[in-house]
Amino acid sequence: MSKQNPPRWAIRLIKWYSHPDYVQEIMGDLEEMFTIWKQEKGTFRARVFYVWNAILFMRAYNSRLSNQSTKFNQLSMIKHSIKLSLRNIRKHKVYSLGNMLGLGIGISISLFIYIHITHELSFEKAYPKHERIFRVSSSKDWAQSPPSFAGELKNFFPEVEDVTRFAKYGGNASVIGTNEKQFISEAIFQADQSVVEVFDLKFIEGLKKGSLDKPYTVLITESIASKIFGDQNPVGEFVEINEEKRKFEVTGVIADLPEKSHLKAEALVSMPTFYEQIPEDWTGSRGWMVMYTYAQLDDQQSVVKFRERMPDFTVHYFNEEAAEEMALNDQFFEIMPLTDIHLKSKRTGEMGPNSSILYIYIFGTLAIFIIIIASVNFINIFTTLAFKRVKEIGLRKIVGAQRKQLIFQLLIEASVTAVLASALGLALCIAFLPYYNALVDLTITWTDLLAPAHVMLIAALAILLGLLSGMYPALLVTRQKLAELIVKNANPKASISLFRKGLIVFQFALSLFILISTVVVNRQMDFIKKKDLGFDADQVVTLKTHGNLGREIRKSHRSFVASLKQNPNIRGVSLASNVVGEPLSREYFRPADADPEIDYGATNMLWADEGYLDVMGIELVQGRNFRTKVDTSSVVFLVSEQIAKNWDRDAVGTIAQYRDEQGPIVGVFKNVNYYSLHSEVEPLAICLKPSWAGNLLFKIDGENAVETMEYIESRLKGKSPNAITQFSFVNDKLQQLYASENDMFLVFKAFSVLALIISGLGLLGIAAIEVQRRTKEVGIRKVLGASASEILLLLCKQFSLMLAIAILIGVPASYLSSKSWLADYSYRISLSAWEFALPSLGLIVISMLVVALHSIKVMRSNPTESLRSE
Amino acid sequence: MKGTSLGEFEELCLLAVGILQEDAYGVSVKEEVEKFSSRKSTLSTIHSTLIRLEKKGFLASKMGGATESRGGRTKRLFEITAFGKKAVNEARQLRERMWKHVPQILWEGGQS
Repeated sequence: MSKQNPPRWAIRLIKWYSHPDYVQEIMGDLEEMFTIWKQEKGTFRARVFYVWNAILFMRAYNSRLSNQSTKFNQLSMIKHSIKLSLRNIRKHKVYSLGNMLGLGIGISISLFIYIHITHELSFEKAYPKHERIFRVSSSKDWAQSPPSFAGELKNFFPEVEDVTRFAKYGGNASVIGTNEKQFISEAIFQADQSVVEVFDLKFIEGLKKGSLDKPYTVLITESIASKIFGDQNPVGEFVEINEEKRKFEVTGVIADLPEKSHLKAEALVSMPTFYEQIPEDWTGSRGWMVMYTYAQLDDQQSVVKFRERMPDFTVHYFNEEAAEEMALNDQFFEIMPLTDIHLKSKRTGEMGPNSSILYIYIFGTLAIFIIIIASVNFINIFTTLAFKRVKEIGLRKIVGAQRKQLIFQLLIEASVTAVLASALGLALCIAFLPYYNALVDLTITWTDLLAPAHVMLIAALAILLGLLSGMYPALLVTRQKLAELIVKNANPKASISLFRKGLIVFQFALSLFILISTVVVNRQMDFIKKKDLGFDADQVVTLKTHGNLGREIRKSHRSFVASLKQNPNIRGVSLASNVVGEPLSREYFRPADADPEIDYGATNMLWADEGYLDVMGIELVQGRNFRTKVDTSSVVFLVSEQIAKNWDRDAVGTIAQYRDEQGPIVGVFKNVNYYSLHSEVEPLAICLKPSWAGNLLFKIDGENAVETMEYIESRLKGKSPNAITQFSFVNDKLQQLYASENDMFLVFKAFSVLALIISGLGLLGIAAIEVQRRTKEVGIRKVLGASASEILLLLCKQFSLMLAIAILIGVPASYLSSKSWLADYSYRISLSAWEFALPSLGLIVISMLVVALHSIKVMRSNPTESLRSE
Repeated sequence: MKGTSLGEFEELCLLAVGILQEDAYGVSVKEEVEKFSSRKSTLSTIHSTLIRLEKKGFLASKMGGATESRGGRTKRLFEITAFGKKAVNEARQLRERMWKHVPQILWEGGQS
């Protein structure tokens, strides 16, 4: 056990610093003390003491060193350089601190972004076979495929080692539990037995073999198991799921699935259950997209062969004709690596909302920009500061410093500043970690933050930056002739060199780019938030009616609604099959008398009662609402304007065909945007069928919301005492649709602002130094009779040219990138000139202001003062 | 260098070496000093003091006495030189000479 001994690194430390004559006794003595400490205070504290003493011995060693005749070594030279660097930093306190702060902020932001990106990229990596697992779907648009797809796939492709399927069980949310305890889960799936092998499920209880072979068996995750059964072993127990009469036998408990995965299953129902519950003409359908099919290939590379034979398989699976039609529409089967799903898949019927690779690109670019801005700043300011010290360098030369030594000195100085700045950056990171975690809803610990890889990366960056920024002034200054350095007391060149001008222009352009992008993103987000969705979900509360409660309510739904409405705080009550934001059922819905050749596409269908339009505040534009007394045919519909438009006819009065039934359309309502605003408004039809609706919706008065909800709850309990009454506001659900986007945007905004602050700091530093450098020139000009405005103009001129070039670069670049970002949204703002003009103007005003502020100081000063210092 | 003066802590260490005679090295001196003075000291302090005393010529040292508890490493064993003995003695005599001049009544209560 190594933990019983002193830490090995401490021993190595002693060996490293100790004089060879003393190593033996120091280590011997410490070892002896260690045994004593261990007996008295325990191993842990002994180890701590050991380390502490090892460090203390350094001091003792040092005193010995100074007593010995000093060996000439490089070490003292470095020490000298470091000391000098620190002195110089102290001398130019404000500039150095600003410089370090800029770089520090830059480093900390980039580190955060880096961690975020690695987090996003690590999805699905927890599954051992993740490289060989692919999701296969029947077309580019769908995430799912028909039930019989998987079996055929395995027979057709020799590369496929195994296939496994998932199918959502029981709609968007299900109730799982025993008689006594019930929970709502949104992640119950049906799955094949092969899931155990393909996804390497870890069993905590129960046997892997045959756990999902029989109908009405279920695997539950550890967390669900402990919720329902506590400490008890659930294997062999039975659970109820939804209103299913037959109970499910728990055949095993599996470890919770990896958090970083698109797969969020909490319970897996055996696939034979699916075949038992659903009639054969459905399970045999080759057009019913219901299964998430995953294929495990024998090798990652086999996917190439697989893709080649895809068209053949299409013919094999359907018939020649269907395959041809699919080929025409570019609708071949698609195979997608498991690891791509989280970032690259945005299809109909995804298991849940996925992230987007776009965010990775945006943040990656932002991180790189920020690091570049901070570095450019750093190099600029450091170089300028170095040029102020030509006299010092000249003197060193006189005293006999070699060129090599001078270069070395400047490089060390730059490195020390850069390393200090990085340390500051890390400190900032740790300080702001809690806020960052709260912002992006992650749990990054500071040990993650200070992972060796990160620290090494930053150290490498710091040293590289140090060398880079030190190199330029070092080479330039030290090349100067002695006489020039001392006598002229002038800078190597009268004006800023082209190199540094380029850097400043580059920095201005980048800042402008970020500024414009932020403005555009801000406007777009605002636009989305304020966009009229076609409904008003304010103060609408929803509740799922499960099991017994659902049955009871549906039995006498109209009288129940009527009695609830007696309460003045309840403005409206409705039953509906789906709540806003949840995926809707897609159905074939068309005019009954239409030519069967015409393709009307799929229509979103919602089943509800007559109160729905009222509760959701959806506006009727034509016809009338449902009327229970009049609408007695088996199906009656309300359709959206979009459908009326698609059908190109007067919708009211049209008899519509839906599944095997026909019914009249009685009204047209205003378009409703049910999903994210990334997509167009989709056609929506509402069918009068409360018996198919599982969600209660209440529009309540905002004044007495709590009492009202309590009242509703008591009424529901009256119907079914064990009912789960979990209310949620529809608006909250709606917010969740945009939650990840909003989070991302917030982070983006915060980081952009910081990036601007960094470049502001840089500008401030450069302007200050530049103006100060020309103090003498200004003095002479004043003596010769230049007016204040002339001098101001002179000082601003230099910067205005650079600004102009920066704007010429920054505006077109940001225009192009904004345009491509907006293309992703169906509803988007149109870019106008002021989005570009205003930030540009802002940049000009701010930089001119900065220059002017510094200039005033110089202009006010008496010329004799600035000239006297010769 | 302060020459041949003997600091208070140095004196304690020197005396400890004197008490320990054959077996005076870092750890044992530390224990001895702590035992008598009941004050904590770190090993590194003891070490540097001992080395300093050696530099001043009060102590001489040789290597030896490896034991198992030290992981087989040798100790630096110290012993007092004649010069060292003289220095301690002088320090003690100096003190006694001065004590004689302190008025007895004034300090009696404080003596133990």
